[in-house]
Amino acid sequence: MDLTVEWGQVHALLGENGAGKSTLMNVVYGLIRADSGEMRFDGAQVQVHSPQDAIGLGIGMVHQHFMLIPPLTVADNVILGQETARAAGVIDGRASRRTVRELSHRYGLQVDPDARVQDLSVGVQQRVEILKALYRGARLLILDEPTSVLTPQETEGLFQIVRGLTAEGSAVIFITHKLGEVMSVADRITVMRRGKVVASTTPAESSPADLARLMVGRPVLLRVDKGPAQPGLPLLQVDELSVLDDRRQLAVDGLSLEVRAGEILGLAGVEGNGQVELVEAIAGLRPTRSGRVTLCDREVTAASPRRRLRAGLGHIPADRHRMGVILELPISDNLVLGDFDRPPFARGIVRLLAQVRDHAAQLIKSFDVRAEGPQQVAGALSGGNQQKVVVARELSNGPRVLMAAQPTRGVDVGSIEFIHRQIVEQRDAGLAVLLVSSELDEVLSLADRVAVIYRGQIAAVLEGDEIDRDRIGLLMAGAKTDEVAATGEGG
Amino acid sequence: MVSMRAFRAWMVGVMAVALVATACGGSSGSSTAANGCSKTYKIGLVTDVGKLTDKSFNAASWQGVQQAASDKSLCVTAKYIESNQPTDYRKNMETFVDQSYDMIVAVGFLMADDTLAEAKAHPNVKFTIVDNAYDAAPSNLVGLVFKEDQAGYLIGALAGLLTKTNTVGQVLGLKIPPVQRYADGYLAGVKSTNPNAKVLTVYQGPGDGAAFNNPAWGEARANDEINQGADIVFGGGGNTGNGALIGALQKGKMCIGVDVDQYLSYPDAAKCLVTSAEKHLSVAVKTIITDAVQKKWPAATLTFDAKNNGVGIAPYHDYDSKVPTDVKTKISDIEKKLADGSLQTGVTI
Amino acid sequence: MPLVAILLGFVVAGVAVAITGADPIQAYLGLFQGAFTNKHAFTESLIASVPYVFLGLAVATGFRAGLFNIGADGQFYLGALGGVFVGFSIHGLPGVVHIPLAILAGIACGAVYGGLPGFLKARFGAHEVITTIMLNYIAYSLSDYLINRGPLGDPHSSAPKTPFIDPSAQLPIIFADSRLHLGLVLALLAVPLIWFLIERTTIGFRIRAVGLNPEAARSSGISVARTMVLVMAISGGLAGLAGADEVLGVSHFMPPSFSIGYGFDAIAVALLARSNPWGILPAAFLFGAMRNGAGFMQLQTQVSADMISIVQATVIMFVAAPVIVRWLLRLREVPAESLQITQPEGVGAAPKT
Repeated sequence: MDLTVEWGQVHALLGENGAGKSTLMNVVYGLIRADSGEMRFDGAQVQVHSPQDAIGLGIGMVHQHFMLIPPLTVADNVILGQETARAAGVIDGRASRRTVRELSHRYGLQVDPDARVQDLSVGVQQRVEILKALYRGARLLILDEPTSVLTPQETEGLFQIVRGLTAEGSAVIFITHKLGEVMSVADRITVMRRGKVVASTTPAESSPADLARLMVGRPVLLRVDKGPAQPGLPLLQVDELSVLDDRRQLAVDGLSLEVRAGEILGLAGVEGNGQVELVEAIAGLRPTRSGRVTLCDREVTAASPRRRLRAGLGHIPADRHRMGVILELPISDNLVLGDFDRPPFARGIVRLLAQVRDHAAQLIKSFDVRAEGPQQVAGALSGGNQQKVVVARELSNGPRVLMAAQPTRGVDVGSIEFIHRQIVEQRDAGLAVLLVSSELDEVLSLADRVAVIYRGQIAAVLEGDEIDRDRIGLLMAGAKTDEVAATGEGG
Repeated sequence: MVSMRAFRAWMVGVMAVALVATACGGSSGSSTAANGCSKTYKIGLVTDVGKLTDKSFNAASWQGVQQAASDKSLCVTAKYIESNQPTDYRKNMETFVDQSYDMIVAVGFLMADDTLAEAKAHPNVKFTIVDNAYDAAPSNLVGLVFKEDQAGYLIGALAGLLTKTNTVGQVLGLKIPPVQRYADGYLAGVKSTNPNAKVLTVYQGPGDGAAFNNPAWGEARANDEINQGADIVFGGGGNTGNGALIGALQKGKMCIGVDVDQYLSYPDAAKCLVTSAEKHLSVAVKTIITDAVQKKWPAATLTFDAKNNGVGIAPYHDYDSKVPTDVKTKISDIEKKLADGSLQTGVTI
Repeated sequence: MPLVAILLGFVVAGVAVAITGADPIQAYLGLFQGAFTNKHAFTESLIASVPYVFLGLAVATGFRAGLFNIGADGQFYLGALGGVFVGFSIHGLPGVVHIPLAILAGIACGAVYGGLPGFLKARFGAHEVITTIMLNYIAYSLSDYLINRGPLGDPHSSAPKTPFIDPSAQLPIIFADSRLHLGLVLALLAVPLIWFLIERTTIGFRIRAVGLNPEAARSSGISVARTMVLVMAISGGLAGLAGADEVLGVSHFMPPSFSIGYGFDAIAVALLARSNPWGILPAAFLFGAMRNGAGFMQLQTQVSADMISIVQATVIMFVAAPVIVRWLLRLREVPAESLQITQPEGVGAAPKT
């Protein structure tokens, strides 16, 4: 495959997970060696065998997971490995701080060199990563899925920084799977599918629907088709719930919400505002400090995960690899994780493996899991198919409440479509659905009502016309409801 | 420097040789028959879990076997097997029996039951066991016992005379009769020369690591006793006792060895060793081997004491100038009285 | 691959033997003869393998749940104490009752002693490696007390040991003119039983799920705490069975220093078998044969019996580090992260003109 990036341009690399975007960029950055082919930089053929080579050429990369040392200051993190040393190896702190401040000012990054990284928000940490790359003389900056951790406002800020960089003549490769971002920031777009470039275009020459079709290889329904909700009685109620996080800090702070049968309640919020702890507390995986959780009129605040499962709770966990599937076990076993010890899958303590396999074969078919068969280990499946296994398992238990946390994270567009359709179908069948997602687009397209979580509390619950991207964005960033209403009317 | 490639080739080569050699098999390589002997007498020694490296108990027994083997007139060849654990004792003796050995030397009281069973199972093989007497044994089994209490009495008397803190200690192996005789003899000896002295005593328990082979434990106990005021420590229990000697050495206190002259066998502790309570195991083992070869196999347990030079006290070596002459005189006087039977230790175990 | 590791272990230890001045070929010949071809050698190798089978299964079962049971040695002691106590204290029972009773006592003692660290981990988060190491020391001291000065000592002997067990509690000899006892049959039965338990029952599924991904197991309703206690009890029970079996089948009483490191060797057995119950059989036999052949090896060459420990340790090192083996044999290394997509044919960044 070929790819040409020009100076002064934002070049978007668009593709689903597993399309080869990150692999390609890791080759460019010297983390992986190419089997064949050549690479030219500024017209000259170059060999990049390590990140050091790449940095030497002026290539910088900001990874999805930041590589910062939290207790150190911004300046220290930026100069790490490239310290300007005075005599006897003493770091010249003043010089480095000055350089960092200059760079920050020049590109409008607005970062305080003396702040400690651990005290910064995710969006600012990302800017520190960009600073790091610039400090090392990067003229070609690779950003790998940079918006997955940002609020809409922070995303807009990032776009401005990117535009500033290209205005100075640098080039930016922007890796993403989000169509909207591509349309608003890119100068050129390269679409990848299964390791190959399938199209090279510009935002002016294409539309989101075109790009989606190119990405997936077939026409994709971008909007989720759903009728109006017909809510019934509340099935999941959370009252004044308080939960501590792993550091024993209050993560969920007297939070209340309710989800009714036949509706999807979307929980929007920047990651780290208590979503994880709330979901784990509802699932029975984390003790609560105070408050109540009621499931189908039964109080389950202190019940075990298993009892909640039996009481009708289905749970699609946020971190699929950590909590959703057991990668080393076959699909068939993963599909009965909650039921393996009950008929028809066991008699006494003896497992009935034939039943388990039949059950799996059935679910693989009805949930369109692309697998070799029930005995294939879950780890061999793509992210989307692993997620379908989780969805299939949770729905096959016959739940009345479905709690879906980040249900489409790391999932290909084809599977996203399928999972979204399942969620809507389940709503129409009368389930109460709590959708927790940091992808605002997902919440906006699926939810009947939107609750915004900020610092462990519900900042607002929006319904109908109140559901508005800007308004939600401001609430996610901590604005008060009345301020938001004012700006909403003003704009 | 050898290149990695060469090293790799070498390793693979060595492996191939080892493979071939193991696969081909072959005859036994043992051929140490002494010259000029019409028949060699084969002797196998089985150690207890203390192993030959204990520098006292098993080592001295093996020394006796070697002395017999180097005596050309006896026509003896000898091999040993060290036991890793108690359930191996019978198996290891059985290995010698299967190889048509004429006589088996079992070292240590702990092997008593197993040696008796083996002797009963193989009446044509001669068995001897160091440090054990049987109430009833088959004629092919003879126990070798010592009056350790006499040796213990001697060093106890010496310790009683030398202590400045009026406190002496002893760190012992498992509480089995030979060890107890040393300990009780030591106690009686101290009291005979210094009735007001305090004697601190600690035995190793079966759970305190390997029996007779836990020097760390011994060292810790010696430190305990020194902290309670002891200025002389008797280390009586194989490698465990050796640890106690080291403990005393490091605290700058005096120590007393056991079984053999440890000044020679365990020079690490030479600096603190006043003397050692000797039990001439090598003498005893060589005696029984000689008896067997010369067809003078005894009918009952052999006892070794001060009278037949079976027990005694080792030279003072470095401490020769530091031990006052009147003390030396008193000790040699006691030794004479023990030998002629005019003095009893009062120990009856 | 384990076979290559074993061979390499022998080679490296052979070098060590040569350094001590002995002939490694003669030493290995002696080892081989002592383990297989001499009179009684083969049956003695089998006898020595039996405790390794039970203990290997014990450690492997723990591994399957992600738990590192270093306490097998202590559980072995407890099992031996339980077995020997029932063996000598109850009289007049027929063998068919007495033997199972003594074995069950051993299993029960081991299971309780193994379940305890499981409980401490589940309830208080105490790491099982630390608690089991400490419980080993407690087990040694407890058996010391019981045998030496306590209620299990033999009142008719001045040696620190328990009385002999009644003949009705002795495991019958299953092969004439040898010491080979019924324990071998029990060991051969235990392997498929544990395999079935782990691979085919709901209990085993819980164990594997917790071992592979405790978070996922917990979030789908499996009680991780209960599973940990159960696994440690099963592991301890197997180790206890090994102890009871040694007492009832081989020694018939309990001497001091009953096991020097059986429970630790068992970790190596389980590693060599990659925690697969069927793999335990050859691994245990290898260790049993090496331990048994060591005596004859020493008789032949007078090399230290510690060389066997060096062989064992080297084998484990090579098993644990397959990369070394691959490097030595020049096997092509598989990259740690294999690429799943087609590689780009060319990547170029052209300058703006």
